[in-house]
Amino acid sequence: MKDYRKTLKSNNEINDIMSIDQDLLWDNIEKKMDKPKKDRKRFFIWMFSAVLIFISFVSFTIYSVLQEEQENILIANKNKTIELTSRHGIINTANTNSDVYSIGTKVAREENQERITQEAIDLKKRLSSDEYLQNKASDLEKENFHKISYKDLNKVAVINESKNSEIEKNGFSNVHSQKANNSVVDFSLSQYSTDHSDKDNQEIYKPQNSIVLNKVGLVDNRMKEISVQSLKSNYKDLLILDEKYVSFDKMTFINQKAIDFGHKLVFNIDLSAYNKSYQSKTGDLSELFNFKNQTELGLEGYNISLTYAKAILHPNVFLYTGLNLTRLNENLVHTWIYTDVEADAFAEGRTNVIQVNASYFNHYLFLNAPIGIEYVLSLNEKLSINTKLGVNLNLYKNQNGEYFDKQNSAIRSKAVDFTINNTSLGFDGLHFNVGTSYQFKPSLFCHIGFDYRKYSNELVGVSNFSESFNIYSVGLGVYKRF
Amino acid sequence: MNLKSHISLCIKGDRKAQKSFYLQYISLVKNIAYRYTLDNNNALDVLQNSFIKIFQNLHKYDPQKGHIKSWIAKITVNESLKFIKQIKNNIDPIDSIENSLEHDDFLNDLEFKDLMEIINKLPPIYKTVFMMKEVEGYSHKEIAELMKIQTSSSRTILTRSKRMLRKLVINTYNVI
Repeated sequence: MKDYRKTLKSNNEINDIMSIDQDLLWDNIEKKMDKPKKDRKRFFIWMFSAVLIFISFVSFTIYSVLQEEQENILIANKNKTIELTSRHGIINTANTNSDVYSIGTKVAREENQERITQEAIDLKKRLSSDEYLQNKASDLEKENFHKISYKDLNKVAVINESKNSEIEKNGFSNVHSQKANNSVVDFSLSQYSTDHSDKDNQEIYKPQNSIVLNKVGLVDNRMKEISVQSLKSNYKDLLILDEKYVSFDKMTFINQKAIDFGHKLVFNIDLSAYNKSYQSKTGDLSELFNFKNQTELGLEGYNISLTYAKAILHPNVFLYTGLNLTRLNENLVHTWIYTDVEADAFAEGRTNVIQVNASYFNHYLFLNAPIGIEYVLSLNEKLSINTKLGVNLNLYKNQNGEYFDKQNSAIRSKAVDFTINNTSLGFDGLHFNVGTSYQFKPSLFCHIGFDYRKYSNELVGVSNFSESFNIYSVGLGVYKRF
Repeated sequence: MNLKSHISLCIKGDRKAQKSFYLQYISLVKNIAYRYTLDNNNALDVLQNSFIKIFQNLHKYDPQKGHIKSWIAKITVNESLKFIKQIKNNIDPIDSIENSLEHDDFLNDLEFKDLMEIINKLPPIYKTVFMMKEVEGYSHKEIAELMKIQTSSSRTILTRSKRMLRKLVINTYNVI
């Protein structure tokens, strides 16, 4: 007998009465559902750390730049020279504010030989009325340059016109008196404004190691040796001798730039793309991973590094090390089909074929210390090309994500089925970087470059295999030399 | 992929997995929604709300307690009842216990469309109790819990609904 209950339960009847647009309805449902929450916690932790490091670096850099700017103010008048009084032919300490500079003798010889000779000739012509100076100029003409290095230890540098005059201490260095007959007298030379004619409006400068040496002329045979030492600049800057001078026997130049500017602190952020390859240690990986069905939507990531470099052997060659953080993302989609048989009172026992496109993700994290050699090729005063080559010393590795297990037809956690074996301290791949640096502030540079890194993970678990990553990055950085 | 993996993906928020889950069970939800509301538009609303509820609570589903379809059906029934209560807040108070033995053989000869039309003429609460008891197979106790009424009220409502249906059939089809 017909039962109205079975009639009412008939799905076909309802389907005939109630037709719906399934896709439109799904769109409405999707809009109302919460957006899937990504695990942003870890991302924010890492980004916060990176931002913190960056802020610290920028703060340190700004502080240093401000300090340097303050110093720059002091050398703003660097091109003013000491004015010699031809009558007495001495350096008047009332007009000088000085420090000691020493520059390599070799440089002095090679670069000043002609200039000194020519200036001696000029001097002779200019000071023809002064017999002493004339004789001195003649001596310079005749002598070979190497003799100019002769040092007369018995002479005393007279640097104050009046022996009894009180030394002006405000901003001026002290005058060193002769210590012994055979000692060398060191004295300070000025490199910035020395015009103190208006004593009421004097600006007091703190003695500084400056950038440019103003020309100094030795008065007479009282001073035979001048040492000029630069701590912050290219030695060539110290060889500007654009003013008249009297004479000197020896000028020693010591370039300390390579030593005191041989430090770099570099902060870099790169955006990366990479490719990955597998090498199986046991069995066929395609059985495990079902590679054919995996569509890799994006292999991208980023790299943050903070490195310290020190010049070694040569001003343009640096040894660098530091910390490097690399994060790589892997977005995968897997499509598979399975069947589901309806088997309860509501259905009619039909078989449904379901196609599912599943998205899942892998994240890789590498923390290592790069060690290598950097070569800096200066193109001009502002631009240089930097090349780095080194190795990565692994500190920490992590992977977090899933994979599609073909054998079990399921998406499984990688961390559960595999562990990275080579996470301990050790060598992990090469590192190469080439880029261009631009000096936009004294000792402050910005850098743009291309970076290549190679990492590899040894994985053990359900299957043993290795994953190799070739990471290509483009990035920006800033660094400070000090 | 097995059902467990599919559900796992849905819980994680994988839209594609969720859509395929939706397509798989839309018929089930639709049929239940229609049987309770007996109206296309209302059934669509119930269907939409049911799936939202399903995805929001999918993480609570325990396979050991029953098949996924039973779980989905339960959510859909709840959403249907909620919907019915929203459109008709008044629930007729049933104070007396009446004889619930009411024969309903007169409905067997009707076609599906006619049955729906007749049942749709019942007051909402009567229609709901009738469908839950006679079609979905809920007990009076379960109906009372879901609808927040007394068990005795559920019995009385069912009896009255059958009486009404008898009268409606007689009047509509001149059946004696």
